[in-house]
Amino acid sequence: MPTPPPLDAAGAVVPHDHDEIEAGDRVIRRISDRQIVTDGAGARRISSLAYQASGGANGGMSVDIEKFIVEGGDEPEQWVTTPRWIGSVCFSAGFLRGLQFQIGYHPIEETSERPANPYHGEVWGTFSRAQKIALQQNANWFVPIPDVELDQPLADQATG
Amino acid sequence: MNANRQEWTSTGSDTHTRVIHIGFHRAIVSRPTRDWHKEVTATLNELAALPRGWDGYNGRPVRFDCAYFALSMLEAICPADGPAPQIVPGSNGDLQLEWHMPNEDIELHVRGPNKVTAWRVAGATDPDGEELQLTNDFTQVAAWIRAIMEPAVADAAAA
Repeated sequence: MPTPPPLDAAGAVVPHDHDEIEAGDRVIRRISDRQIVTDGAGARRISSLAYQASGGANGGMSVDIEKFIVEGGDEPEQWVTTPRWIGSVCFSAGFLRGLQFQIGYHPIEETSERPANPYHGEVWGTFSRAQKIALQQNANWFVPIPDVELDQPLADQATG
Repeated sequence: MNANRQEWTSTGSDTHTRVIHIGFHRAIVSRPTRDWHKEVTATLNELAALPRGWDGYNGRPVRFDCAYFALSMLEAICPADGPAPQIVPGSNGDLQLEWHMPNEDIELHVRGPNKVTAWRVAGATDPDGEELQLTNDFTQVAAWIRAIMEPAVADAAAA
């Protein structure tokens, strides 16, 4: 199991760069069909709002850490599409850190509202417009969504 | 069943109604229908009913105050025959209104009532576009909406 994340006095995960998430490791962002829009040319694309931090103190953008899924004995494509999420994109940790984001580990325990996710991580940063544009233009498919296009994908980015 | 809830419903061809359920009482407020109103209202109702975790993580349904503010803002900035926005839910109960045209994109991120980040990119000369933080004056955004309607208005006039 990965080294536990740092916690604040209230027990919340503190934004951090996790030592075991290396530059070439991929982080996966699940995409819902609710986050798909049609662009001016009629193509279906992922909305910029798919790339934002969750609210609250210490809130970052939720992701799944591919390496931790594999180390946990699960199959990444299946993990991030179970039970109903239709697709996902990925970024290399090195690319995200180059945009001044931090990538940390934040395992989620099961509650009455959500299942456990021991491979959950967060991406912390300001999510400025420039950063969101960079995320949109450099996302790579992890689980493609049929008939949805990515913005000018850079094929060699995901491998760091 | 939640007795204290609010929803919008269409009750006919010429009115649009917001129904506020408070306990077992209902307050009904009618308003004029706009071309995009029914579609937007239906989408907002859907997004307000999303299950927790709809995004695969811990996403919340769209908050009523965000939805109501977005609708009120649209009524102020979007003409009755204006284009309906696409509406995307955020993970925090927020939402984003989006218009995408061949040479122009507008996004209004409603983070809460009177908390709007507006962004527009027009043409290829400024790929980063223009971003505004807005509270209660949406004059600039209304001008953006009028601008994207101009080709449609010209087409209608020519037809």
